[in-house]
Amino acid sequence: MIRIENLSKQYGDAVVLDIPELTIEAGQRFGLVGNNGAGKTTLFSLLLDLIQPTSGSVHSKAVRVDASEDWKAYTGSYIDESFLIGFLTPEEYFNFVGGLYGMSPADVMAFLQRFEILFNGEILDSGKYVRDMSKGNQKKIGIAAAMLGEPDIIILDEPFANLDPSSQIRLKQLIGELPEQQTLLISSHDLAHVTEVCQRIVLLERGKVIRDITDAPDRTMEELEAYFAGS
Amino acid sequence: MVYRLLRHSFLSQVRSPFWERSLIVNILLALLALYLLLNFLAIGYFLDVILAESFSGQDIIAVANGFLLYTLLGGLFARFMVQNFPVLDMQPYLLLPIKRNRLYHFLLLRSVFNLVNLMPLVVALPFALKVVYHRLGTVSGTVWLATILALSLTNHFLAFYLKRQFNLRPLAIVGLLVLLGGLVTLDVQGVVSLAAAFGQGIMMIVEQPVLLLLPIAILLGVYGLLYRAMHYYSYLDTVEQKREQVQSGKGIAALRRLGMAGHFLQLELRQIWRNKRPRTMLIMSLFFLLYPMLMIMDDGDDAGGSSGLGFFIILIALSFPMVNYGQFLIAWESRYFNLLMARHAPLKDYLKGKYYLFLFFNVIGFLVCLVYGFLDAAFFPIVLSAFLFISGTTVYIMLFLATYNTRAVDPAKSAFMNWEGVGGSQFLMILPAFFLPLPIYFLLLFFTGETWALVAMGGIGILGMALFRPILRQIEKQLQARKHILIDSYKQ
Repeated sequence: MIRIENLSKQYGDAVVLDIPELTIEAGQRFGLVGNNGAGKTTLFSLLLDLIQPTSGSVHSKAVRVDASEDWKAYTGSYIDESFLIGFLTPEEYFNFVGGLYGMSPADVMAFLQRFEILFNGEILDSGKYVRDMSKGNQKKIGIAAAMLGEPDIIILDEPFANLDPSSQIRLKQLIGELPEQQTLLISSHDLAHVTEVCQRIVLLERGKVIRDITDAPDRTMEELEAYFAGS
Repeated sequence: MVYRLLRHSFLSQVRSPFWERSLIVNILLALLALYLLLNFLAIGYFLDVILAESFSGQDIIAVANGFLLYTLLGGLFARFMVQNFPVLDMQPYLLLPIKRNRLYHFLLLRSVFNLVNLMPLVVALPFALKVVYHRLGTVSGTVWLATILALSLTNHFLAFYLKRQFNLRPLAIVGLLVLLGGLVTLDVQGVVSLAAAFGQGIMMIVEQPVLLLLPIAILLGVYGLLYRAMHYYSYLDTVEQKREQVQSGKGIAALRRLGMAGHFLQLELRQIWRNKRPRTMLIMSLFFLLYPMLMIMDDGDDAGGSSGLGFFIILIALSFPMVNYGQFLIAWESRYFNLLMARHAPLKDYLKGKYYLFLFFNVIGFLVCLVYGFLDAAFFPIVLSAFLFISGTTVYIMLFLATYNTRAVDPAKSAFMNWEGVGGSQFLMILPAFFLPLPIYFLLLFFTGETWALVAMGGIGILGMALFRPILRQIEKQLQARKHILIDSYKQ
């Protein structure tokens, strides 16, 4: 689904990301963990062609993400607030994003049904613009918009941050309910959440992949805790 | 403590992003400020001469006092537009062990020290020294000057207060404005004589210096009012509660017929309507459409003329809304640019939406300018030719150059005295947009005469519109090539 080859990103002399090879299969639940500055957001930004690699390439399905826009039709993403439009109400925002994927307002509302519990009655019909909402509610809006249109690939940066405990649990359920063929990439500081929803965990340190755990999901947590306690 | 606060406020000025613009813009701004200051100084210094010539035989001081009411009202309006309540500067200090009272006084007093408050002084001081002291003596002169300064300081604080009230109770302020406007109308028509009474009031103070306590009391009263408002607003939740409920819009149905481009146009129209800066800028550009009117009135019958001036003026008036808004095109959307780039937003339709937006501006301008055609038939061909030319050339220039708008703009901020996003690229955009058509037109005018020049300009415009697809494709490529630079520079 996604193939990374010799990917690196440098700012001046500082190498912030250096991944010789990484392949993410269709339907995989892929978790990216690492401390601040490990390169998680940089990697996701490269996958979305928001920044240009110093060397190497990212292929999504068969196309290079920086050579074609085809991947956008089947990729949903939420990185940060720069993916939100502050002067719209949540409904208007969902309709705008849904419209990009050819969804009518009725389609959008039907789709959003599944987010009812996550939204907790604070998002739809709130009478507020997105810019006036709390960080947590903004994140919920961003996550829901990323999933609009049932894209083949969903990329979420730190989806659990800023959410209250109930919302975190609900989000994990929502992720569990995603269709099997959907590929999900999330990054997180929170080891418990990410190990719970992902079969594959990749650990980044200073831009390099230092662990790639695919088997033995029961031991993942131990291994990660040992790493973060030690470093 | 006060020293430390002063130091922070000094640092905030010096390190303000305000200065992080190109040197040229800073120099131009400094020159503009200096120019304004010199203008006011000149007005102050020559005020006696000006008044003596315009109102010969009358007492100059009485005439000056008579104008004072309107000057103050005008000043109040200008301040209302430009000044901002200093409440936001307070937040970081609220948790620190500084007495709140002291913080309020500090912020209020600090707000007095700005360029705007220098203006009344610069006008009043020369006039006082040159005329008032000379005529009425030192004591009365000083009292006069003190009265003027007290009144303009009252204005300073009153503007803050009214602005706050405007956000809370817009209707009350509008009512106040209507009332004031009515009084001024009555005054101008001579039904009541407010300004004259006000002037006499000033003279009474000058004759009875004890009465100086009155303006000072008013000043302290307004200060106290603001102080209380400050206390009220120092609690973070008070602003939050006042926010009214908004309704989700269905959007304009007709735009759906434009397909995906209409989808983006819809977004941009909302962007304009719901954000202060683009909205104010566009409303102000509408006034610019009235600019040719001055020329018609001024020039009587030969307004269209073969001089080419008519074309020049119509061209600028017509393209003004587009250029004024378009100078920050794309940068307006800096806040959510990543969304547009990472999600399924086809660049072609994104640009097409902007093309339609500009066309919409131009059609409105065209319709307004057609009125000039009814006033003077010579304007019909000029307006049509300019409209076609702009819609077929300038529009593309704006779209292309917008990809160089690398300075992020926050459209929610006020439009007045706001230099955010202003940089070299604005000059690069405005100059060709306004002035590229002119040499072409004047060349044509010189060689072929007016009729054929207008036909040719319109023809170039039609050709430009006919080449819509290939030109748009080039601009799309340009945006694609500049995409990462824009994303990077919009990052906060």
